[in-house]
Amino acid sequence: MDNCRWCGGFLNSNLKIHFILSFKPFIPKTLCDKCESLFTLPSREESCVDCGRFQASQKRCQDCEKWLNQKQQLNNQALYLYHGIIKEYLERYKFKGDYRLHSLFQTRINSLIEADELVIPIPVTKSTMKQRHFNQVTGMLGEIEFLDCLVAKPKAQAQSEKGRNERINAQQPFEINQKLVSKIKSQKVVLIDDVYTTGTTLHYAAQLLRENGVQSVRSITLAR
Amino acid sequence: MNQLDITGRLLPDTACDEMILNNHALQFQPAIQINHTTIHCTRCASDCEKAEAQLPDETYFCYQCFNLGRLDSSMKLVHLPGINQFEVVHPVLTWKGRLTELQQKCSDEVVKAFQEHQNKLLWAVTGAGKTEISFAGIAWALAQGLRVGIASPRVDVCVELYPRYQAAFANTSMILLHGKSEEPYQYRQLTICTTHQLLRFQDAFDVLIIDEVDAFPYANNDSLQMAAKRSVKKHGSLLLMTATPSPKLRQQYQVSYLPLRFHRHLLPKIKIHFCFNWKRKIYAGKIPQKVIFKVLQKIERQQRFLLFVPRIKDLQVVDEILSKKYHGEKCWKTVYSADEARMEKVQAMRDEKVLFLITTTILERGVTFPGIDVIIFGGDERVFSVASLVQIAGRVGRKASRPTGDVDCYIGSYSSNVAEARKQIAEMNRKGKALG
Repeated sequence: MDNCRWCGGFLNSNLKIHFILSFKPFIPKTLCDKCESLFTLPSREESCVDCGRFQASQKRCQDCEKWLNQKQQLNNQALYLYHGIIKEYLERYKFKGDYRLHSLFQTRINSLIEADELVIPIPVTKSTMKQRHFNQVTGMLGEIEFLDCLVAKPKAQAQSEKGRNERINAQQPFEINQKLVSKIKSQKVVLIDDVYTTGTTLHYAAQLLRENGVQSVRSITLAR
Repeated sequence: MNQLDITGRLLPDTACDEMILNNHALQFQPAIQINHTTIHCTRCASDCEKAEAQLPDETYFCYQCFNLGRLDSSMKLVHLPGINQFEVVHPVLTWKGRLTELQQKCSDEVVKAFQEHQNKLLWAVTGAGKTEISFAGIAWALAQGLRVGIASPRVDVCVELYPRYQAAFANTSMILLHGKSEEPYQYRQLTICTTHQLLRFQDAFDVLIIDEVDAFPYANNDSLQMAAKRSVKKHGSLLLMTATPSPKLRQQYQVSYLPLRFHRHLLPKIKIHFCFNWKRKIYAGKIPQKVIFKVLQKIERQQRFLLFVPRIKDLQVVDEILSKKYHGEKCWKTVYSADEARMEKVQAMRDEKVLFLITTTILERGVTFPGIDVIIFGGDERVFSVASLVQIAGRVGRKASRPTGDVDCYIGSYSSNVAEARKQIAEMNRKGKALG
């Protein structure tokens, strides 16, 4: 018998006789019903058209106006608000490193990706990789196919430790893997990241991809 | 960071400075041993399933103790055998109180056990003054320049003990460690911590006291019990304290027994009231009239009390019903283990800002609210073990000025736990009566 990945409580798979006789494949549960309900998607009526920020009106938010002024636009979809349970989740998964939680949102992310799109995750730096032993974004993708064509340049300070202004004024943090450049030419690309805070990371990545001849870029993040 | 910060500890090498790691006296051991289908964590001694503990780059991590900072198979654990380097300032014991005759006898036994490097179990009823009994032994150890640790499974207990020990040993350097404190680790002669923190120690203490040994999560947790043994030096001694030791503990250790409270009054008995269908009622979002009546009666008399319910989800039901039934200003709060404002709420009760708390078994032990009564709702539920019930009843009458009080237990059936708890209390009272 398994335990719930989130609360560690007893996990009841609830195998009913009609399910057994249906001969459908059995997908083991990872969360108990109570925790499953904690992670239900928030209902969103109003959000920024570009970055998916939850707000009172269906307009472009301030940050995205700024990006537009710099002639950069990126359509982002966020599953959750960076708040409450998701903040706790990322704290535990990404910073404390509980890799068992990696594929909780795999199906939800998968449902947002179109069949003809190429999935590119945001990479982590070598030093982060050495410490964390995984890339939280590729971990989140689980079994979804992706092309790891971006390389993060080593940086002095982690993104999450910088202030807001420092982030917006940062330099291009990525390079492209030259061996894989041919694979992204005139493709529809969807970038994946864990959190969209100011959008700097994703905008830089999108800019770099556009320079290397992709047809279109949009992005999906777990939280905004 | 200096050498003293790692003496007696068991830390991952990634948390230590380069400078320190060059020391030849250090002992290294791999953090994770990889076996055929499982991995074994050196820090918490638990086995994890390989498939679940795997990271994408073929390293493994321990998912049992990752809350203390993740260990993975690329790391090593660093240990420096314990050194004692303390300045002893006299007088060590600044406590001015006096022990009763019976307490003094137990206290002497404790000192003797420490002097002879022996382990001991101090079995004293709730409100017997276990903390005070331990003072003499600790004072002896501190005066010898030995390192002393005091651990408890419960955070609340540690938080409550810290100021008491601080007052009793005002000249000694001490530190409080638990998962929620922001304060970083420091090398101190007296360490007060939760039993989970002991996982970070090895061969550290000459004397280790574990208060409330039979409490969750320490009881039945092999990893924590291993950690407690490991954190004591080879010739150190371990003192376990509780009011409700399991028969197994009683067999394993030498026992000092104190069946009478410090004010020489007997333990309050558990009064039982039958509500045959309380379970069905609570599922339907109701609670029995008897319970509501009792609560309202106590509010009217301004009697402070604790209301225990079996499960966290029952808290809300009871809270809502009482809000409906009681028309005055809300004078209570609900507290459960994962409650963010848990500490503040308990403090509010201590400061007499609220009249009563509705709570689960988390407040069953280690906390003292003077002059309270207790109501146990659903006492026949399995979460209320014999030890829990005895401990809950022990919250009552802890003050010499009000040595008695009511323990009302509402049950659907006369379960063996309730019967056993009543029997234990009667037994201790019989022995206590013979003494006092």
